[in-house]
Amino acid sequence: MLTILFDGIAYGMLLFILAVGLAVTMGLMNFINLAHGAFAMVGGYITVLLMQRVGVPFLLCLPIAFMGAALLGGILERTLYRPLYHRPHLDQVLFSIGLTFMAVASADYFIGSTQQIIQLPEWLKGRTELGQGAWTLGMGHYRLFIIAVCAALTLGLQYVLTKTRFGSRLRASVDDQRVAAGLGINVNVVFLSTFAVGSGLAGLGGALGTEVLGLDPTFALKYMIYFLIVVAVGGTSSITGPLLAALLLGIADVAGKYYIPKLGAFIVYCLMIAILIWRPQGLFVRKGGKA
Amino acid sequence: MSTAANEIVLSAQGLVMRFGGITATNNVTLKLQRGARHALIGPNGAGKTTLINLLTGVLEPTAGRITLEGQDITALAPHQRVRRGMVRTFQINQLFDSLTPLETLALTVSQHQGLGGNWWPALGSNASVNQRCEELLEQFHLTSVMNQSTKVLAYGKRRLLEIAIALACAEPEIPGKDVWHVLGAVPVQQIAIRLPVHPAVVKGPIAVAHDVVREEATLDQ
Amino acid sequence: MKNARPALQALMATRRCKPWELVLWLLALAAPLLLSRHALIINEIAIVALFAVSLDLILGFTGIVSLGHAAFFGMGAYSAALFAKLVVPDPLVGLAVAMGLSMLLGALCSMTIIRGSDLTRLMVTLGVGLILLELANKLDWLTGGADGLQGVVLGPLLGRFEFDLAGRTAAWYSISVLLLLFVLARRLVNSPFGATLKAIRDNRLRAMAIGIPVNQRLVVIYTVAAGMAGAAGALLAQTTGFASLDLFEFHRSADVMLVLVVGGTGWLYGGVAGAIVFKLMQDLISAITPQYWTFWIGLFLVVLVLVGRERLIRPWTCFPRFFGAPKA
Repeated sequence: MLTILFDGIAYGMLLFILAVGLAVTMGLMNFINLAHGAFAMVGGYITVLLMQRVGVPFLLCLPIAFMGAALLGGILERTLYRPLYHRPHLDQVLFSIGLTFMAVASADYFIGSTQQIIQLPEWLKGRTELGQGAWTLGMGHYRLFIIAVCAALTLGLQYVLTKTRFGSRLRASVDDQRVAAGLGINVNVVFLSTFAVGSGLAGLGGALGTEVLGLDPTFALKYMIYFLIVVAVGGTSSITGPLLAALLLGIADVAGKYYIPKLGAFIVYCLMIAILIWRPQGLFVRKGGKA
Repeated sequence: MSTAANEIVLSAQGLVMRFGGITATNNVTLKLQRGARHALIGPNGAGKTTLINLLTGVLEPTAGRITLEGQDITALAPHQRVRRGMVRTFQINQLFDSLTPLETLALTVSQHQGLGGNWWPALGSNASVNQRCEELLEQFHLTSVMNQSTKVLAYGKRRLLEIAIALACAEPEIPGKDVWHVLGAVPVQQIAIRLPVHPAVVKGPIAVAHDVVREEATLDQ
Repeated sequence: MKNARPALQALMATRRCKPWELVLWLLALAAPLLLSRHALIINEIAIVALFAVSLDLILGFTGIVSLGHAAFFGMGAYSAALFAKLVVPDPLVGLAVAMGLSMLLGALCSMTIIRGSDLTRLMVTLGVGLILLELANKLDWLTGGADGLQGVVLGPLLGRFEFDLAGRTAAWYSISVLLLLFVLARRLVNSPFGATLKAIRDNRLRAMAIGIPVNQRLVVIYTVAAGMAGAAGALLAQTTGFASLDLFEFHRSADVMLVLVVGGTGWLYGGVAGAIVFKLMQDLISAITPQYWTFWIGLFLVVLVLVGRERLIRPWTCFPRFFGAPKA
């Protein structure tokens, strides 16, 4: 049971890193970006290609995946996304679905539709077991690694948000764009850098997740619903909200699939719907903030 | 009318509205009499719009009660309060941009006359609805733009339409029944007005709406 | 009332059936006869059109962005297929049952879309679609699971018209159902009820402030739209003899949204126009690059949004002075 908890936490942390960019950009730009999964997919493919074709070590691939996805995100934000910020949500949905379809089809065309497998370095393979009997805690080393990296990133993000000037500018822009601009904050730069970092994190998450979640062209859409759940339930006005939502989702999913395999994915969807009906603005909305 | 002048028609007791740490409405009690005209005055941020939102049901109070004609309406949804005779206008025009003034008024009048749920007859087929629309369009000088999309109208016309919509909800279902108006007039002041629907008097609040400062003297409170 | 006539005429003008509409429908009804070699694709177009029109009711007229409309489509398809297999293979009765069940599902789901922002509704509709997909998958003793439900054979329509292999009867059947439901939808959107829907779409706050019971209207229209989508699904299952899980998939919901957007939201005929264009394009492009249809659709969507939906579909809105102020 503890192992399940552990696995659930690992899965949840991974989901968090994947989805946090989406939460922030949605809160910041009020843009429903269904293409976020595509950036994650890009990160995953960068990693796979570098490892398989060029032989780059796994650890080095991670920051490269981040950069690659961030660069792509920055370029797209500046060129395609920016004109669409004030469009109705339907337009944004259609646009981002279109981008995703293009990404999925391109991946299919250039790389093929088979599942990609990566070879983890030796020190990340293996497992440590603590305790015994029902209280055994089996910790896969890779999952431990994921938790460590994601926790570090989370702390880093929280630090940037709360203790740096950029962070306060970002929070101001999320609360009220017009006032922030009126205060002299360069909202365009805030948007661009936030979108880039968010996409980069998605890419990093995609790279980390290849081993755990698999990677094929359908990745972009398959996990999009999970990211959206994290954002919708966790709210967009903080990062602790999505963090808790992601952990909840991760644990619920893993536990559900283990204990009640017949119902598996149901649990997650029904839980989400129930939560959204009860609290349409999300579980963890800061009162007074714009949800 | 003056014999029933002292009857309290709309009252609120102990209304409180808190948003997180901010108390926008702090234990407000008010009593409005039949036929009276009141002005709610205060600087920006005083909570006037919040109070109006509470009275009309857009916001749910943190505490307190609202009574209309002796009945507790605190739990009623906005559309139910409208049916009981409480109507409001908005300081920032809230219009239906893709509809024309004619369509807007036709739909408002239809809804008010209880025809809003009819799905079979066409919108322009009811004679009494059409007649009422004619009246309103003429009264508010909107006849010339009645078929233009609201989106393209000039601000002045939009404001007139805003008030026309509220008036469209004011036609009494029962002749002689008093009707409420809550008008948002100019940025500094908002006015709650109670009036019996009488063609001559209907012009009254319009004059007030556009020229509040002068009319202040004629208000009761 | 000296101005009574112009106003009346102005309102009535948009409600009357225009001559081109009659021509269109006559052509549509004649199509299976005139183009009998293409009866199959005509059938498909009619079904997609019905599906898209049902989405228009909630998306174009009421402003509810739904990514899970395929849930009702699939529900209708499976209900009709199961009804034909297990109860009675009469097409019309099956259609009625399928519509009824879809409406029931719609009424249930409508509870979920009442509250919340666009994002919440998107999520919830998506979630419902996925739940149904999972359900259909898991209840494989009933639905055939991943293999789908096959061998659905239908009795003659109205007791007289057998479903022929060429698909003519099927095409007529679908077009007739489309026409009937379209007429009903048209009356609905031109009625006071329809006007209140548009009001809710444009300004929910104001709609409440004029006495419109918003939640109630949402439930009603969502139920109606679900029923129509269910009818489309039923037609598909009945005319192809087959129902499969992919009817519930996200792709279907996204595709029908694209169809509607191509044709134009908010004027009912958008669904029909979009269906024709979409299906013909699909046929054409599939012949050239079968697997990469997704890419072209994606590109099309991106370009469509960047250029502006209005301008692509109604080019005359680029030049308002030439063509007069656009009507809603």
